[in-house]
Amino acid sequence: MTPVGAELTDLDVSDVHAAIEWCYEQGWSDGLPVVPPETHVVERFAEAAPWAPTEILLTEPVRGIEVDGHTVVVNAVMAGCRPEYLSVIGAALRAMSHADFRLHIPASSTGGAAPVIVVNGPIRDAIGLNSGANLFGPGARANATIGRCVRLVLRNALGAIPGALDMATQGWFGKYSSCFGEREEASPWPPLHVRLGFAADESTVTVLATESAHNIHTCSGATPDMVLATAADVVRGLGSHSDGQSLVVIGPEHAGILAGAGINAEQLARFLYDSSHRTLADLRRSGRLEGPPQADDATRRRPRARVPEDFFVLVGGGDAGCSSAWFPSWSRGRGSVAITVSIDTGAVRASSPGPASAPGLGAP
Amino acid sequence: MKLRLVSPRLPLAGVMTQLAPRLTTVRGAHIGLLANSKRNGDRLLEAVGTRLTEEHGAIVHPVVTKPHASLPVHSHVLDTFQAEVAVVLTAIGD
Repeated sequence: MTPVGAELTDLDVSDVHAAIEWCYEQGWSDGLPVVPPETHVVERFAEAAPWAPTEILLTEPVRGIEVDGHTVVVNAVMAGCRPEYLSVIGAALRAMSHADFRLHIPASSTGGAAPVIVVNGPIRDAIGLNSGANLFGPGARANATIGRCVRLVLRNALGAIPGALDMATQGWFGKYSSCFGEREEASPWPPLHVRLGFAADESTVTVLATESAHNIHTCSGATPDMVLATAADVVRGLGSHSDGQSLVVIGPEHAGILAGAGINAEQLARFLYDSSHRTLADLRRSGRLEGPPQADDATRRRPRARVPEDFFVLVGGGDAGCSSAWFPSWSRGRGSVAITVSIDTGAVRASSPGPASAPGLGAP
Repeated sequence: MKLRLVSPRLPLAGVMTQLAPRLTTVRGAHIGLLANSKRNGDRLLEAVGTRLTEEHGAIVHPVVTKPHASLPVHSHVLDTFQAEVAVVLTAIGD
């Protein structure tokens, strides 16, 4: 049953296309056509949902908004989801409700963050989530529509309308949809969720608000040193330097090269942390650091993180090719951190040494 | 064909959308200043506060700065504003 109080509209239209156009006119779309949320379809999804229509799935405390299960279901229908995707969507929304995610900020900041959703565990195969070739690109329904549903919830329930609440200067294409799986089967290392303390057979969702991916590309018989040197150069870039967290999605070929040299995920994170340091002179010169120059600016350094564990290393992508990717947190400080939620148990892990910015660094 | 569609939005009752009554004049009014901790926002507020005081006769209170731009305003700050001022100005200047 559609909940009492749900806003309904009776349409008499010539065809489905007219209904899609009507949805556009209501401002319900992200720019792509939506599936018209017809009552019978919504009710079918609601029956399959792992929550009650009145259950609160998303909380945004700054504006005092709570999003219920019914509203999420309607947006899932519109995004083109299948009902079996709902458990992933619910976990992602719960992660984004965590106090340390600070949802209002990535939803509204000029920095233009997208909530990037990483899925681990058996549910990837159960719903056909792509973790292989073109995992950040189009082609897999689960990837495309789970991320899209989360974005539609932000738009339609939180009011994250571009130019109104969503003040992104540029944004990025991940704001349409950003969801992929870790390719655990091609990884030489324990998967991300296991290293975060979850069981290998547990399904989890990790969400981090990030800017667009930076390419870590090195080919032509790449050696471990070549991969490391390229990655080090990417993560120390001034344009994204902060004390925030980041996702490092290593392509299977690069992962094999590194593992062949005896490098594990923790060592890679430590290497990236060490390599990401910039002098205070660099940070001040680029405006990343406030205040007048100091005598020791040329010798004092800061990392692009707070601790090595702030680099979340995982594996993803196709067998062939020499690409990896770095998704840095959008925030200049520690405005929002990664949150992991177990789909199976609801357990939450906030990977957070704390929200405060390093002294002198801009916020958020 | 007939379709019955369900809105993907929240009922308005779930969203804080009601605007406070507008002032008709700032002369003699108590004005609060809230900086969100981003750079230059406090300087902008100081400058606006000075002009409101000197040119428009407002009673401007000292700038209150949030500890972090990503954090909501502390409830005790809101309580103080509610008790002492008619308008709160905020600014970012980065």
